[in-house]
Amino acid sequence: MLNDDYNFQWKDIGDIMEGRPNLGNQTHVAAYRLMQYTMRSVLNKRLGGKMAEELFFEAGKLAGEEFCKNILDTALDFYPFIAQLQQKLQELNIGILRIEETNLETMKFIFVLAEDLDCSGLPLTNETVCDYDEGFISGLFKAYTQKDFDVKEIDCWSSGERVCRFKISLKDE
Amino acid sequence: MSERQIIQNITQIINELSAGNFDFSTYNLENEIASCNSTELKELYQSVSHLIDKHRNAKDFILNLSKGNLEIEVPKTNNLISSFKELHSNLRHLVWQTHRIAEGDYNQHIDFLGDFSNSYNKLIAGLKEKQIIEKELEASETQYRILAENVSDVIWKLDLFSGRFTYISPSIYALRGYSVEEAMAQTMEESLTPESVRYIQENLPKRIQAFYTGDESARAQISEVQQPCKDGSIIWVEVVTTFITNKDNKIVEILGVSRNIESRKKAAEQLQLYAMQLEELNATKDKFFSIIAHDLRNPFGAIHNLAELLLENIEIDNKQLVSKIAKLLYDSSKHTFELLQNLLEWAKIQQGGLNFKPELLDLSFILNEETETLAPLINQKEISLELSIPADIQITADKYMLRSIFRNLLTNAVKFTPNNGSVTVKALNDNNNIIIAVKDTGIGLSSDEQERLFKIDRVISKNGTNNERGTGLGLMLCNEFVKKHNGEISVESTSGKGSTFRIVIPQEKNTHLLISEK
Repeated sequence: MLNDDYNFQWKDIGDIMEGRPNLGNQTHVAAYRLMQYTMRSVLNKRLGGKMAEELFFEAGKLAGEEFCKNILDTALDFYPFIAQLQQKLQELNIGILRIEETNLETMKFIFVLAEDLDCSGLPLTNETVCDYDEGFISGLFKAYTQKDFDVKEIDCWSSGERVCRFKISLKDE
Repeated sequence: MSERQIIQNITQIINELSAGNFDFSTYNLENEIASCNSTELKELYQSVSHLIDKHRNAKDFILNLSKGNLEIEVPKTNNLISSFKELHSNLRHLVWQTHRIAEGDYNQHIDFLGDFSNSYNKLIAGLKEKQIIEKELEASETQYRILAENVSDVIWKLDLFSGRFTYISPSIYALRGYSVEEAMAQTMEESLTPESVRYIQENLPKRIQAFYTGDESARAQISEVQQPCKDGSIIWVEVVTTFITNKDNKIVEILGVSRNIESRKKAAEQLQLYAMQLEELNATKDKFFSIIAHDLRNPFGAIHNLAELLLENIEIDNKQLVSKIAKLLYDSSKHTFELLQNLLEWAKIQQGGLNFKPELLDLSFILNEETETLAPLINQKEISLELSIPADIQITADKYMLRSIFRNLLTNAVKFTPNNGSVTVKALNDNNNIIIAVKDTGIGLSSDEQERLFKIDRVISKNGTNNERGTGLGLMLCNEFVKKHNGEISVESTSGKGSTFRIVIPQEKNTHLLISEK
């Protein structure tokens, strides 16, 4: 991991069943959040909050692209693809994806993530914190459409909402 | 206003807010707070104002939500109504899902709203199942439609109640030349020949009755019917029909598959023709053997015996007996010669070795010559012979065949006419058809004998009035030769009163042959 040019590959996740024959594939959400927010703490201090936010978005985007390529069937039409995405996110306990708007002509969408792994239950801070999710959704759309998308979280548990709402639109060229 | 009064007003505002009143315009505390020196009081007023704003926004949001207006701006950072905002989000998702379901996308699942979700998910599952069944049905129908529209056989359905076709596959055009629309417009009766309609009308009710009495084999049947085509021709069609029943096992439709069997029918007819020809050839062979075995053996036996007798009597110089024997010998050999002559001609016809060479002939001359050869027999039986032939009548015919026809008809007339009887020969040209009639006052023919005349397998062989021998081969030859001239031969006869043989030789075709040959 000292390699400056390290590129993530799906296989880097490893063979979990072989490695964790007793503990298996499950862990506590707290463990995930412990890692994310300690990481954010360090990055905020080292690089500043803005830069940390950008790095989380970028990492999320890479995760979204790899997730799409390795877990989802990109040959599906849009709505079956979304149905499959909903199913996978729920199976992996990432969150419950609900859709509020889809417009395939303007390529504008509003997605809602309930019981989000990243933020649901966090203390109220009056700010959105799901930068990684924004990047993740952007990466999914990039891998599926081969186009860049802007994803902005407009509601978040941390900002006092019960769900995270994301506004998605085709990036201006 | 004193600080105490301001606090009292703020308290009243909070109480009214708690009571659900949002109109605080009467208090007008803005100026009082601005001129107040207490920082704590200012902060308190600011917090209360902020709380009022949040409550007002919350009230507007919930009011809109209660009215079903989901296209509203969601108040930001207002955790007083975060649950309502979640509900708003869920409802918007539900609306989106309902839109998707309306578009036929049944990959939707609701995991909120309790019992409603269960019912909704059941509804979606039902719709999804129906969609799958419909798709399978559609695929199946498409498959069958492709099959029905591409096979050369015609597939059709007939509503038994109305008697109208409910489906006919496009291959009807190849079968009968009608478009699907034209064929559908026809009734079952119009689609069949009258004879086939009668066949169906006789058989279908019986078949239906048999089916209703439990005979399952009556459900499907293969029939052969004739159908008229658009070009006016008639074709043979094999039809496999199957009864289609409803849940009460009542016949509602007939499903049919029709196939053109015209070539099969023609092949069968050809086979039948071949069988008849073979039968005829077999009869010819039998006749040959019969003639050789009996008709030739007897006269040759007689000639042999007479020759032996002649030799014996020449030695004893009995001239009277020798003359009598020689006469008998002459008669026998003459008869045998005639028989052999007919046999030879017959054999030639059968082998196709007798060429038909028509030429323009003087009918009177030919008939006179043939009657002259019969003169000894006519004289012997003292038969009166009358020839009524117009002098100028000419006939286009094969001379060899025509002579054979006259020789056999005249020989028969004389042979079967008793002594002192009469034979009359008449000829005329009727509208370019030469008609020749040979009438005798002989023993005549029974109706059974008349029917058997000219047929090789049922040929008559009987002796003449003076015991003249016969083989029946002569009339067979006449029939064959007349046919070669495209003519006809017929007989009218009354048993015991005589017969009239009539031949008709059309001149037009034979003249055409004559011209062609020239």
